Amino acid sequence: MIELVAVSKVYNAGRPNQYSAVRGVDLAIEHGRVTALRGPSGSGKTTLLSLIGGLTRPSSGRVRLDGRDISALSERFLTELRRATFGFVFQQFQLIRGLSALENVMLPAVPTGRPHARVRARALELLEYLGLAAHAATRAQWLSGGEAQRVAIARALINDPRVIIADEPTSHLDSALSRQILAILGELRGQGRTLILSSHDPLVFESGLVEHLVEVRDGRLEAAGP
Amino acid sequence: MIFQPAALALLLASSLIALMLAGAGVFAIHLLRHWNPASGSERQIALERGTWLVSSLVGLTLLASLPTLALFARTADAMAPFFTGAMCAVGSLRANAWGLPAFLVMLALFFLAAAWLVLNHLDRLGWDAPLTRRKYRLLLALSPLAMLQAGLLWLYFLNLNPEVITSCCGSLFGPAAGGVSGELAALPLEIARPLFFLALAATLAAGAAYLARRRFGRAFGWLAALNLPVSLAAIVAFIAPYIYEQPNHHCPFCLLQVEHGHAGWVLYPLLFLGTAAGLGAGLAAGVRAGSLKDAAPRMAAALAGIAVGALTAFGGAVAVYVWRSNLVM
Repeated sequence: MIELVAVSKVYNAGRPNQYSAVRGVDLAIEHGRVTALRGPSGSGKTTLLSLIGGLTRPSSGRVRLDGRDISALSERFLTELRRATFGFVFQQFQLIRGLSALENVMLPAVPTGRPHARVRARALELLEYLGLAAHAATRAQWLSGGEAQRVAIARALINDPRVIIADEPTSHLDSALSRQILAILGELRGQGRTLILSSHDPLVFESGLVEHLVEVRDGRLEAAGP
Repeated sequence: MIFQPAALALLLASSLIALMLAGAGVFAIHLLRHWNPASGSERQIALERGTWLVSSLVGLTLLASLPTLALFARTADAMAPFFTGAMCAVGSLRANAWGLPAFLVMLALFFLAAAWLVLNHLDRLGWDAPLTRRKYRLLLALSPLAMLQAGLLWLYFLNLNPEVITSCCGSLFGPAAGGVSGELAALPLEIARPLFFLALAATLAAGAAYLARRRFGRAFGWLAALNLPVSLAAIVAFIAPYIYEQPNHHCPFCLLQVEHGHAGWVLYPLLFLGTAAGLGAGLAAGVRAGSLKDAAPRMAAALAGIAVGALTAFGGAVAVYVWRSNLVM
């Protein structure tokens, strides 16, 4: 269970451009389900995902993973936990230009110290699973939107995380590619992983993938679905 | 004021240490008043962020401060020729009223800093930082001591006057000198020698017991602390005379000089390292936090190993100096 207790996030606190992205959010996310945050642009979805995944620390409130307060962890412990528990698929993919698809996928495994050959074999396996085996050597900047998104998913899976966090996973894709990505996410759900998405794409909500819908507006939760 | 590079370095270092620890002390007061890990309040989160930064800065500062003790002893020894009547560091330190107090405060700060560094390192090994309160309480003791040290050093160096006739170590560490130093110098060999070997043996036995069976960890820490004054007393009472091969020369500072083979630079680092590591082992062995149940004994054992090694070497060095001496007491 991932719990957010009275979580707020203020950027540039105390400055003229202070901005409250998340305000007093209480939220419980069960493992093994697909949870989606829905709301307009600027509603705080990405900040909430960052808080859940330990990429950002709250200004107040607590984030707990299986009862353990992760928002109070020092950077060292938080990094270890983030690396082992969460896989991130970013809205803009965030692949590193100049590196091949294979190298991009392998990158998050480098700090774990796992043997290079084993990491490479696993990365190739993931690329093949996502239909990208032929593009393993292609540099990131030459990949199409759908390919880049799948490479980003493969990269999120390289450390075999329990939780996948995907920010607007279909926002840059056409309908056919969006359905393909949603099918892949459905398979990940089938493997028992927890999926937390943010989206305002109707395709995501019509797909039947989402089991727990959370409406976000102005940094607050409006209503939570089943 | 005597403008020596080492004196200027000491003044600069002690002032920076005092400044840093003064700021950290203010933060420590704030933290001890408001620290509540159960709360997710804005203040608590700001404190959590603050403690990582302050701990890192204080840790670096204290680590850098440890060698200042050796530098001060070396500087005092090197300044002896400037003062009429001074033969070693004792003469320099007694050239005014601030030298010896500054040295004693620096000595206390050395061991407290070592203890704080051990607590801080342990605290960082626990995911829930379980020793935060304890290490900031200790920091509250360190802060005024660091300011006192800087103040005393400034007073000492600013008030040094080469025209002043000071007294040599014989007047402080002689059997007829009176005071604590005189009493130590007058301590009979029949008492000082067995007491020294008994304290050292008991400390090493407790350390070995901890290494072998993870028992008597706290006792080892206490014994290491007790062993320090006993060993220092023994150096004055009989080890120094053996090294000088003069029954009435008891000065613990002349040992630093080249004429005596720099014996002090062998004995003191080993004794101080052994004591600091022993104290740290005792502290680590006494930690009962759940998140440190593996890390604390592991660290205690590592420190106990260092302490036992250093104190064994110290005892061995003493035995060699006594054995090689031509003095018969």
